[in-house]
Amino acid sequence: MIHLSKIEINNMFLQLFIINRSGGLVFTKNLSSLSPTLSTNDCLRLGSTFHGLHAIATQIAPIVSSGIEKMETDTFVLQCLQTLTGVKFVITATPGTTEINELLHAIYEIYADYVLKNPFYEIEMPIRCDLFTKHLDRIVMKLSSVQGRRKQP
Amino acid sequence: PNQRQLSNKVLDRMLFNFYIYNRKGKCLLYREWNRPLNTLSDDPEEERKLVFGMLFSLKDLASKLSPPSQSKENLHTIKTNTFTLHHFESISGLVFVLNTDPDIPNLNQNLQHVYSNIFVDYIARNPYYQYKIDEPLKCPIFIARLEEYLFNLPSIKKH
Repeated sequence: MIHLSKIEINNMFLQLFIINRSGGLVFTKNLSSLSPTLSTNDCLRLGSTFHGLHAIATQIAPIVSSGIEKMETDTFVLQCLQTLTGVKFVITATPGTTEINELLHAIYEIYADYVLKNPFYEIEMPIRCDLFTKHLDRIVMKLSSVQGRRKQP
Repeated sequence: PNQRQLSNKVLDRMLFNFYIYNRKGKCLLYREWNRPLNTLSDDPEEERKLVFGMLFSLKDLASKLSPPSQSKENLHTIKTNTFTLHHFESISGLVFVLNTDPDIPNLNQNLQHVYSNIFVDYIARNPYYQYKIDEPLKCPIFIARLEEYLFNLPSIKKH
């Protein structure tokens, strides 16, 4: 029987979105049972909306700036890694989750290895690469189990 | 004079600007202390609308991304690599926005204090000031108390 301890409930990855350089959603995955259920259309809309807002942040900025890297609310946090090629990796998680940076960079690595190097993958298109999903599950599991064991500073 | 020199030095690095919006998105107050970049400097009204619009859409995004929960997904901060935007929305729909240096931690509670203590006292409950929900705020004592409070925040003074 799987027993979710209190620590695990408070330190969980919720969702992953990968957005291409034109703002279209190429990949989305729920990373926990607590994630909100969103229809495919909702996800597509969220991806494009976030792409736009990420750019608007540079326009309203009082100082030369990148787009939105982090968003914090009462109930969740969102972190975005934008690569030099314009691809955005977006993770939502419950507040207090550590290791989001590590997860984002690990996902970027497996994206480069198992999506971009896949000869059948067309760039900017939805990701349907078996090896990518397999490795994604592996690293999410690994980093989720690290939560709670690391002491909060 | 020494105190003023110190606060000017602090401002140069810590606080950029500040907005108050009413429920409908009209900017009631804008204060600027340090702004190296203003992409929309030739159209300030457009800039104010853009900030409100961005926050409005981000709040909508947050309500969809939030895990099912009892509490509201109040937006606290938006961070980029060079600045942090702190946000607070009152129950009446008044929006307070403060842009600061990225090292300054979450000021959501402090903005709540700006609303429930400084705004309520010097604007809403001020017998000498006629507060109209659709008009920009023209109350010097409110601005003075607001700046006094913000400039003396511990997380800002510490830097």
